[in-house]
Amino acid sequence: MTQTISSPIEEAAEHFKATFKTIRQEVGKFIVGQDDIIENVLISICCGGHVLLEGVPGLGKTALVNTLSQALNLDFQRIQFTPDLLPSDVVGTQVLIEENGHRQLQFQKGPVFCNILLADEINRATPKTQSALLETMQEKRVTVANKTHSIGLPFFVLATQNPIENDGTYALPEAQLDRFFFKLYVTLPNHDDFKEILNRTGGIEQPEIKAVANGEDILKMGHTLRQVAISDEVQDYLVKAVRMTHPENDDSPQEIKQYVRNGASPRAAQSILAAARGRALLDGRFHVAREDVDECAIPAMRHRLILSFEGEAEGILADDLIRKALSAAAK
Amino acid sequence: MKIDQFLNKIQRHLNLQKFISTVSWSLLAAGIIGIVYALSYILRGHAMIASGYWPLIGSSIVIGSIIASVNRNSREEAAHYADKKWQLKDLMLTTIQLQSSQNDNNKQSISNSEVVELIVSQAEQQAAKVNQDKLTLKWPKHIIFTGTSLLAVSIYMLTIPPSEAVVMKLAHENMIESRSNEVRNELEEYLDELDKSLDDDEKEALKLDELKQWVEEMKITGNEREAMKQFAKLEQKISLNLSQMNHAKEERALKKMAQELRKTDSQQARAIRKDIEKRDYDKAGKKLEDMQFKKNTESSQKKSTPLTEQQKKAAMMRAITKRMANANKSSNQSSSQGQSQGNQSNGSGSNGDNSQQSEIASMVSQLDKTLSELEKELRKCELDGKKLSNQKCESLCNNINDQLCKLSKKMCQTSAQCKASFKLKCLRQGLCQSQSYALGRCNKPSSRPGGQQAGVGSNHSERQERSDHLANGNMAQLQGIKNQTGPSQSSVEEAESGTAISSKNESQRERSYQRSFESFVQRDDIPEELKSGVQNYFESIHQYQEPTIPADQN
Repeated sequence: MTQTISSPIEEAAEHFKATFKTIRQEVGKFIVGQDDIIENVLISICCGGHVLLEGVPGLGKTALVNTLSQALNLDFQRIQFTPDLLPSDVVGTQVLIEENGHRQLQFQKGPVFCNILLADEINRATPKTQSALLETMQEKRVTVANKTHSIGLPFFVLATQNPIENDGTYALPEAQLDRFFFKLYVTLPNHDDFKEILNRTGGIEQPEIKAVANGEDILKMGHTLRQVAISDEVQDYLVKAVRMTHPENDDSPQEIKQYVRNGASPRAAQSILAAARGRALLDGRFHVAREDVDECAIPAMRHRLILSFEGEAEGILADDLIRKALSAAAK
Repeated sequence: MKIDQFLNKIQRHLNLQKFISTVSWSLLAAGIIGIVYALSYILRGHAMIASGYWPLIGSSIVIGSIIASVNRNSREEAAHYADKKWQLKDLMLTTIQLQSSQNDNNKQSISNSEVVELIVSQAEQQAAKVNQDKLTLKWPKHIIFTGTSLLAVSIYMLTIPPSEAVVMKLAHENMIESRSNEVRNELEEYLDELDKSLDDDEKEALKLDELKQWVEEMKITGNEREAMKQFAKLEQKISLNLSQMNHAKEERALKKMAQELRKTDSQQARAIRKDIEKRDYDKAGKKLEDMQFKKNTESSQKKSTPLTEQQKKAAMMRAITKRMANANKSSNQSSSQGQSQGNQSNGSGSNGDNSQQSEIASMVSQLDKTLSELEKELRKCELDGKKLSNQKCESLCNNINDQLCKLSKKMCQTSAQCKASFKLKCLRQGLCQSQSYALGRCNKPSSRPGGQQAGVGSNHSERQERSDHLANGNMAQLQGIKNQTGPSQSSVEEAESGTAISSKNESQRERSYQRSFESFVQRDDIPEELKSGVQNYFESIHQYQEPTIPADQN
């Protein structure tokens, strides 16, 4: 009986694929449909990125994050953003306590001190509160009263936005939008999925979600996908695609020049590359292909493209512009 | 390595495919070029020239083949092709790039070598798995078919003969060329004959060497327009030569002198007059030269010529020269009157021949003066009772002898110029006829009986018998009235359609008009330029004839 000896990288790749598949299956027990959303969210988690979910209420955004946290056996917290939410409500604050007869200030950790944070309706909070969370997302630590407190890894924020009810909201500024790895649109399920949702959630017994992975698995997966190779040509294609979103670039398509005010940043390229590596591993490959870049480009860049007044007035979609940029880069 | 073998196979396939495609396109290009080349000839009625066609076609195909051979696919292109064809998702491309970056020691590879090995192994597995039978050559059938069809059509067009019009045009051009060559050869022969037959004076007057050079410079071409230009150029040069000959003035002066000489009865004067009237000016000049005084030799230097002898001779000579000088004076008077009238009518002074006396006339006048002096001197000697002439008389005699020599030389020159002028006019006339012949507008003048040789005119009025001459292939017969002089009043023309009599009233009217106009312009008050212009006009448009001497003037 012969046994094939796998290299460490092959084992790591197998682990990645298996864990990914297991988590997806586990989450799929409760969440009906939304396979792309689940996959992209998982990839973002593996890459150490945060996701901005946009969808009308009641589509299962909170349920998704909840299920994920259960499947990953990670600490989950939820913040409902309201206009009166303060930054201290997010990151924590110092509280005066009496201990052994002495009064002293003690830092009380805020809800951000978790592994998975659901920031619901982030656009309802004031910019000050938003920036407090977003700084945490970037730095993965909190500084209060000149004291820095680290947040344990993995740390993943899933923020949601309601595309309707724009009254009394504060749109996230572009600089802070850029911190999100992916922006995903949660759409209405189809007829069959709708029925399945009702069947799963309307009954007496509801699916039980088991912990199939943990934080270490996620960190390991993140390390594995960093080893996936990319050829010069595919990298050139990726860079070209990102540069094509800039209107000041001479080679950019006419639509980009007309409807885009600012193009995607190098952070977008980093997000695309990391996500493309994850997709390659899922496909059983150790190299990134152009197809991987094409799949990841839209969710990675749609929130990073700032449309001009003309673009917004004409209702141009960022997704269409990104497709034009990808076509131009492929030529 | 398996990947190398795989990619090499792909590369070979791509190169062959590119070669087929390029050659097919070059075949199409060759077909299009062939059709365009063929149409450029056929549409103008010409036949295609095969010598230009085949190199054109061949070169386009060869160039296409060379381009296909040179323009080969790279290994990256082969990898790209394989990735696309078997949907390998950039596997081959990534493999060869990672391999090359690993082999390149200068480049720092960011990829883990383990990962590279895994990628290579995956690539090898895929290379082994793919169905290489899918590598079939695609033949661009439409392009090949179109190109081949166009080539076939253009090759067929090679067989299309030129149109009738073109054939006729080419034949016409060939005819013009050959006839022009013939005319030129004949001109050269004629000039060679002249070179042998003319004396030095005539050759000089004719500028024979220049004529020969002009004839040599004539370009032989089949283009009608160009051929006409060449003939016109030569004709122009001959006309220019003719205009530069200023013998007319001398001739007129001599004619007047001949008329004046009628008034004397002397034998010598009569002989000179006859020679002048016959236009044998050289003979007249020789006769004048023979009238020289005896030259004193060394032995006779001590002896002087007897006075009476000299007086007689001087008187004889004076009788002639006086008449000749008188003719000059009377013509000067009438021309000055005419000039003043002409100036009034024209408004501008017409300088030229009228104000300048002919050289012969001035020489004759000078000779007459010298003879008059001699007569006076001899008279003086006679009155002094001398029987022999003195030194002064001798020197005057020598002077007269010199003048006579110069006068004789001048008259010989004038005679040569007249003959040369006649020859040139004949040549010009012959050139006109030859031009028509060369351009195919008539038959060769000397080719059939009835026509005279080019350069020699015929006298209608002397023709007393039936004379058949051909004009453009039709027979024409001149009928004259027996025992009457003058040109024919009618001619019988025989053509393919039959025989008819055509009247020659038109030509008769032409001749009478010419005579009346020429006599009109001979009036003294008519400027000389007009006279010579009228003469030149009628000479250039009509067939040249030797001037006829009226019977009553002989």
